[in-house]
Amino acid sequence: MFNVIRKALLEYVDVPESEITPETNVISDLNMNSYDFISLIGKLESELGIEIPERDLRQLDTVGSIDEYIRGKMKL
Amino acid sequence: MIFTLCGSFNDKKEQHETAKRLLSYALYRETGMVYEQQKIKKNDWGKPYVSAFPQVFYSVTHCSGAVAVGIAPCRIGVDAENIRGFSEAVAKRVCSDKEFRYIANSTDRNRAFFRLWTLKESYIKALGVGFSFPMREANFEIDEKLNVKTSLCGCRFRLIENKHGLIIAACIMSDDDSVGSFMLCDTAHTEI
Repeated sequence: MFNVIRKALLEYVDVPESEITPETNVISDLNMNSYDFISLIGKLESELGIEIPERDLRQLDTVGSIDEYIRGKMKL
Repeated sequence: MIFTLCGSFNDKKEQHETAKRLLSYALYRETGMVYEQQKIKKNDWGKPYVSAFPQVFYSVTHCSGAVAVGIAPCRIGVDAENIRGFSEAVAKRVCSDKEFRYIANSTDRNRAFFRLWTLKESYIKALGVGFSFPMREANFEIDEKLNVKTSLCGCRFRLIENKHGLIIAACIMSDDDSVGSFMLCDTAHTEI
């Protein structure tokens, strides 16, 4: 799952793949803006067939937290 | 006052640094505060504020070619975006049916979407609640002169665009018309 998220992220940010780790904060470390972040969430929703409600977005600040959240959603 | 600065800063790091300098300039000009000497705290949703000046509200935004800073004695949110191709999935997530029709009926659908997006984002930034607010619940109507109508109470909105595809929206949570006017800066005169 981590690699799926990292691949999706690389469509929005211009950083070397190796710099994206579970600890990477998508806003402060990758300088993603709100629009790109919501686009990323939409992309993950459609690719993985899940729904991520607004109330859960606040907890998705690092790549690792997104990974953990999606694993929980998909019961992986 | 909303300070806006256009330039050739395309790199995100440069935009961030320029925005920080503009914030420092704007805070000093509006309040006499020396930003670099202040202790910055964050609210529960991560919105920063100057702990010694809790009555001074500010909002910072940047995009390719522009940075903007809003300073006010009330809650304020500012958002800047470059007009570009928008994602239908994002539009479905954040727009009401009526707003979706506004986009669909526009001759420039990308522009229509980013007008709505920046207005919604400015509102959320003024509230200071981050992504947790359902954007679809903040509804807007925009006329051809960029006047903004909304059902949201206790706030006013301003929207400006330039010919280079830049849109800046501001949400001012005050009825005072004198708060929240735009000031276009240039690096030669603002000494940032």
